[in-house]
Amino acid sequence: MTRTDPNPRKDRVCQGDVLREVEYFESVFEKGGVLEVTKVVFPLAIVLTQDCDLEQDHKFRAHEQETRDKWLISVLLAPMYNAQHFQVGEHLSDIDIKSQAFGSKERKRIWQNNNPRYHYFEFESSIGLVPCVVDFKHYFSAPVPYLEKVKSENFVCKVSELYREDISQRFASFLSRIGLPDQGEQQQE
Amino acid sequence: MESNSTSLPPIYETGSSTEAPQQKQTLREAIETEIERPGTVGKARPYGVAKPRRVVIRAKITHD
Repeated sequence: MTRTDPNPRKDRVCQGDVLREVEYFESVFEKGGVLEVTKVVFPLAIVLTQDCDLEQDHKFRAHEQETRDKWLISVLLAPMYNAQHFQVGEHLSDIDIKSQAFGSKERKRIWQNNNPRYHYFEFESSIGLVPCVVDFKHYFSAPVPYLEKVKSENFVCKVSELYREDISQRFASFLSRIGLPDQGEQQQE
Repeated sequence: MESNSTSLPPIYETGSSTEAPQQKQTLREAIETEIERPGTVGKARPYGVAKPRRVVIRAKITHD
């Protein structure tokens, strides 16, 4: 069970915030006088950026300083997928991505957070969210002012500190893994 | 506690009186309301998380 903060801050974006309808701009180009913007809308996403960075950003934006070196250019987020869609590999089907389906054995590993690539969330019933999964290979960024606006309109909950640190630590660990060449490739070299 | 009502169970299991849907609300209306305003009624029942979707916007550039 993922615990949530009963008294979340509303005045700034926080690590562990779960937000609805977060947009990621894939491409913007112009051809023959027509501007085409393509975006992916994530129905649910969690903020991964360290909270101290977000706090400093908020503090320094509020009071103009000599420098703006504490300002963030963007905030890191991960989409949260409906666990039911994820399990059958259909969670990205609406953006033309077919994913792997999982059998009961592997699904159990993921649900227990024993697969380093994924993080499973099951919220308290008071939050009113179905179980979700984050894939640590999927992350994107968005500007702070944009996320402040999203939070003011589409805030769902904030994962409590211990649990958000767990997510952060697992995400960092997954990102910092070292990919070694296959045994076969090594022998060919 | 026994219920003396013979009608179908309520769509929303819990919730404060201020959040309770109107008595005449149909199931479809209730579902649509839930999708549109999950923050207010989502506490009563989990709402599904939809799949990510792609949106393409095309706009003709005009010069003043």
